Amino acid sequence: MAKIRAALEKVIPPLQQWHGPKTSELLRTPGKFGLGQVPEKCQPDATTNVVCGFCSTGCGLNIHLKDGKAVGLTPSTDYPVNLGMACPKGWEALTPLEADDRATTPMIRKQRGGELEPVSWESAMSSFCSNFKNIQQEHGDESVAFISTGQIVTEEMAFLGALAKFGMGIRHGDGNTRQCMATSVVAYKQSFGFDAPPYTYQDFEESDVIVLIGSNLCIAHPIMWQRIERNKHNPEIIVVDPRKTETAVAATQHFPILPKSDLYFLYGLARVLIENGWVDEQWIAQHTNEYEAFCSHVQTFTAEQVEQQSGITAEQMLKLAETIHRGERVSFWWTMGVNQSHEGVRTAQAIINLALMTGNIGRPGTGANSITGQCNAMGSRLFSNTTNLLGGHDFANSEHRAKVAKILEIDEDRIPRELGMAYDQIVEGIHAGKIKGLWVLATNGSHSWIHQERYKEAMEKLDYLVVQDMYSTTETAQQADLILPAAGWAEKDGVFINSERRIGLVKKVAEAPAEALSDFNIFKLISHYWGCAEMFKKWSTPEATFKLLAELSQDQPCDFSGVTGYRMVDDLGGVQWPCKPSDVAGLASDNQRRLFTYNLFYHTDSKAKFIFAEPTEVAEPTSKEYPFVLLTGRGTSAQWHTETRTKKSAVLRKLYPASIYIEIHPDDAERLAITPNSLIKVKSRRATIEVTASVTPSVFPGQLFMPMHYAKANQLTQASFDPYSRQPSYKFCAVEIVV
Amino acid sequence: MAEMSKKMRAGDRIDTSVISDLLDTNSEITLIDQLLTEQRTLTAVERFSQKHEDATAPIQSKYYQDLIPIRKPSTGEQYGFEVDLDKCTGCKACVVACHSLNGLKEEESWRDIGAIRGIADGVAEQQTVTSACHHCLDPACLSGCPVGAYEKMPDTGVVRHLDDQCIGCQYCSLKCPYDVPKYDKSLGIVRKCDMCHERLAEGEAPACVQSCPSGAISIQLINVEEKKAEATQGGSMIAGAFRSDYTLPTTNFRTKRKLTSGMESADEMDLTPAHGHSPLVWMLMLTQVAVGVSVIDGLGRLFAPEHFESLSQVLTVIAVVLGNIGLGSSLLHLGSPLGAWRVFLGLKTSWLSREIVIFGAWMPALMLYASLVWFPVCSNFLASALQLEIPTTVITLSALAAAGLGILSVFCSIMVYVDTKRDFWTMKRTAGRFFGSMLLGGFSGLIFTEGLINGEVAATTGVAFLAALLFKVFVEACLLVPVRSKEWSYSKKSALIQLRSLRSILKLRWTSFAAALICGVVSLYMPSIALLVLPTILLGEWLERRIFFQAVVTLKMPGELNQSSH
Repeated sequence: MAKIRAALEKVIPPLQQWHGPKTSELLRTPGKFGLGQVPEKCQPDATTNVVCGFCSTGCGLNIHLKDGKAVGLTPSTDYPVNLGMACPKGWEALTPLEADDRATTPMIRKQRGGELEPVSWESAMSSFCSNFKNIQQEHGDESVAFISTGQIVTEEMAFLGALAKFGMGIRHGDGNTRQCMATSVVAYKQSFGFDAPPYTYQDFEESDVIVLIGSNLCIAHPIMWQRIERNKHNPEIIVVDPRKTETAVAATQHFPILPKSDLYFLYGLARVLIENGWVDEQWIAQHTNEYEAFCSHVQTFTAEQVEQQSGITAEQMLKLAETIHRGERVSFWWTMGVNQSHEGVRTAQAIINLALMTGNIGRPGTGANSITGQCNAMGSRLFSNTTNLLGGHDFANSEHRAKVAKILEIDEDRIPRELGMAYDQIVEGIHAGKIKGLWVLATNGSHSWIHQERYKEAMEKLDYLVVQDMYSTTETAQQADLILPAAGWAEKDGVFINSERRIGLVKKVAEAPAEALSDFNIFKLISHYWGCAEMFKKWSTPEATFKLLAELSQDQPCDFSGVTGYRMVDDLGGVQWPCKPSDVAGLASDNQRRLFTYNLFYHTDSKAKFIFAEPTEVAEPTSKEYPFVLLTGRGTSAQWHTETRTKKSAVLRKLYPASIYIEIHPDDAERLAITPNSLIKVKSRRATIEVTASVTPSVFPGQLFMPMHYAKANQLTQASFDPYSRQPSYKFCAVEIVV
Repeated sequence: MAEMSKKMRAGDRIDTSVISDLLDTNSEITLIDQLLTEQRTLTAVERFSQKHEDATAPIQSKYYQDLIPIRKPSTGEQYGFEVDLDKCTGCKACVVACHSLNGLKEEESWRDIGAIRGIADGVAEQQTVTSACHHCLDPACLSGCPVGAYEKMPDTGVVRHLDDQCIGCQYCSLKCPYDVPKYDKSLGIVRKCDMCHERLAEGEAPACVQSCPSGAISIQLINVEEKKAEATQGGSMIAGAFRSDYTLPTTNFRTKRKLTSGMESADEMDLTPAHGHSPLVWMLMLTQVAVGVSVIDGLGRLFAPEHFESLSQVLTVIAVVLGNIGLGSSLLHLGSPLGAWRVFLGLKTSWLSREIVIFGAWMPALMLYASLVWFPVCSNFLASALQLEIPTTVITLSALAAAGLGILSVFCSIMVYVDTKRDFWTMKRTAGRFFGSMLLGGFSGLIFTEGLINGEVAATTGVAFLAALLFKVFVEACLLVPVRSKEWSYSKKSALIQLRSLRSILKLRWTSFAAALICGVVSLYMPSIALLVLPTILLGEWLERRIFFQAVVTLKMPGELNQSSH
């Protein structure tokens, strides 16, 4: 009977079907390795930590492996950066690797405007070498340049810089890092004597007053905001930003200064602190220079003038100064709102000055702290061989050149004695006919560079454009004569250095598609075909290269010669520089370290320097014709820069508007009869584009905000630069709305 | 040299022989091959230490243990989500973690994100709103499901979807005022959040709770009676969400700020049309016309039997053919039609279940009546022994039975949409359109048949048709009137969607009205034109029904700007 019933049950479906093929699609199973339940279809047989390849936070991602290959990931529970959390990009980090438009073979465009055609690596290398060599022969070595990135591992950056400058004789090379942190580099170098962000993320948890300037941490660096959330000291959170950003909403005090009135505001604040005696005179005298001159400089920034320029009243300013004064551990943080400015270096230094004068440096929870943008911007700062000689050395210093030549076992004469052109100078160099060949790596200037059209035109003017990228579909790749297919993050080994100077490991846990090679291997191949492989015989593997870099760093402020190899980096959960051999023992118990604990700065007299200047006018002020200020910046935490990778993930695409929009204040919208969510035209002196109006009080009247992730945005921006850092000023140009 | 580079710019194939000659070709191939092989070798497992190899318990629990209840719900309690809005800063990790940790399809996630903004209490505010299923006390998805594919778990209160029971009718998506159940075309079913109840059973937190860097999402024990009392007060969970007294949702959005008045969804003014639901457009419009034809025929048989004696044969054919196409196309709407035999399971609560069952009775009744009408014709060919006279009363009664069941079916169709609580689909607005289509379809069928059979259209028929047409014009014009209202409402939004986003389809619709009017009037004088009336009406009603689906405002949680255009 039971048998018959069982047989019947098999034939006749039940009234309520609890199980079946569709239900089993979603079954979960204990994941082992401390993971908790995971989807049954991707249960791992091993796990390993890899540092995320998007932003500079440098989160640890626990990669779930099956037969050695990545099948999923979760944020690493104990990685000291992110403590078990990740932003949407991190969660989806593996998805862009699977995209259909990956570059899978080298490709050549025989005719400008024609189609890209797949070719063998051999033909690609021949084309690369013969074209660049021909250009160099005809126009001189300096007629070929490269533009690199903050997205590749440090070993590759160093290899690129060495190959290009020492091997190929290229003089001019720069990175897209020019767009994100060049300002902080110069500011730190001048103020502290070395490019040295002094903090550790633990400082977010230790401060009792946190001042965020031009930083929308909640969206740009959500995991750093998580660290603020963990702060047990009930901190005052002060946000200085023209917009009421997500971070400003979450803050305890918001100072919506007028765009680019930073110097008036910060000098005004310094004056109030001095006038009230809320400065640490003794500390200043012992550890700084130029304080007297600074004092007299800020005297001229009267309350009236500051209010007129920045919109912040004397009363508000006093409240802010008092908050800083009352704080025992005040930390100052800045990001792109400061860096991407026509006077960013002096602005960053005005912030550094505040930390110095109040003695808020070198102690837990303090510091003048620049938060970097890209995952390896900090690696590029030390090893790209562009703004300084490998390892933070000076091209002009003969001792430095000798040291580098000796370690690398190359002829010292191969090392240039001066800096090459900055990014904007390379673009203008192309227009002037000085640069004829360009090699672009893992960046997309035809989308991201300020006043985009001029960049695109430059690409067309080149005799030969090589794009080395994971995808053959970026705006820049679409203009290339040759595409070199690169392996991406997690398809290769190497280290990133994050915002808090932590060296973290990237591992090869996924296969690159078809014939794509890691940038490291591409450089190897190029050195072979170029005929300079002999110079790079010590650069046999990424890890061998890492050890070379550690050796190069010796006796520099960034000395990490104590780090013996990848396994050590992996076992410790990343290592912050400096890490001399003597520092290693302590790391197991304390893996959070900050600089200037002994108040010793890197200038020869060990003192920090107060640096200041008169504010200057923006390059394109608003006018009757163009009455609105256009601000650009990050839209959502699910978008990364030009979206080359983030738009490949369907689930990330759900998290942000599908097309470009502009934020406008309800009063302006009403005055111009703009209905929310309708299409409007925004016009600058360079272009007119159509965008959706997002009517929101988070921007102030007279200001507009546009996310940078959509290609149209930089058609409007105006190419002006900080004179010291050559960083583009994305945060101010004049526009008009055409309804 | 300059020439050479010019030549290259022009794009000629580059002569690589010079370089190749310089190098040993074999060794290069070896290097390329060697690098390609190395690129594919994955050795991370061998090279690095394995961490947590022996861990049995989830190591993340230290971060989430305070975010889930320490005990199971007792009687009168259930689980509910709580979102601390003051902690949520809009990173949206919860959405992606739900997708990843649950192994969902490419773009699938059971958490959605939106934003509200405005000036609240004089302060400019913006707030990201994360929401999943609200595991309602009175889930509309459950009561609307025709096949019993939903279950409210007695111990946890989790509203669970039975994936293998689902037939993919998507009515739950219309019923849920928060747009929670999402249809997956490849699977042919909807899926939704189950609060990771199997994780909760093991003391693990749901994916979204685990992943929030700020700890803003938690699971709380909800007192059912208290929640019911709170939800029936008439408010909503958060600005932009539907009022809670409909389904009694259990999610609690907590904030110290005043985010209730002056705030609106970021997509409040988004006029993107909703899903077109083509199979349903065909189904509704054709069944209503078919029912209309059968009703007119039935009434005709009752009040003017002589006149209809000759017309019935054609009218029944029209009704049966259109009705069957309509019902057939409704099957196309189902993602997993094989389980549709279970539709009676929802009779107690689901208007869709009732609609399907009654339509299922209507068509056989209609066909029975049709066969009675056609019997004399067919029997002419049969042996005289089989020729029997069917009493007129029997035929009339069966006509009326078919008509009655038809009207009941259309009433169920109306209730299917009324029951979704949308302003564009209220009783008045839906009944006006559906019964209007029925009448208009019926009279246009009659004009058509009179023109065909009698070669003339009766004046009363013409008048009745025009009256039905004017009624329909009035009903549809009323849907556009709210555009003049100063107050913002979903009725106004629906009117705006019609006038802006669906402008061309709306124009066509009103052109079809004019065409029908002209055809109707002219057919009184030129009976051949009568043949055009039915197609014109069918076309017009199709357009109207398309607008019915596309101009409705989907009830959902606050969304994002431009989100729907992905």
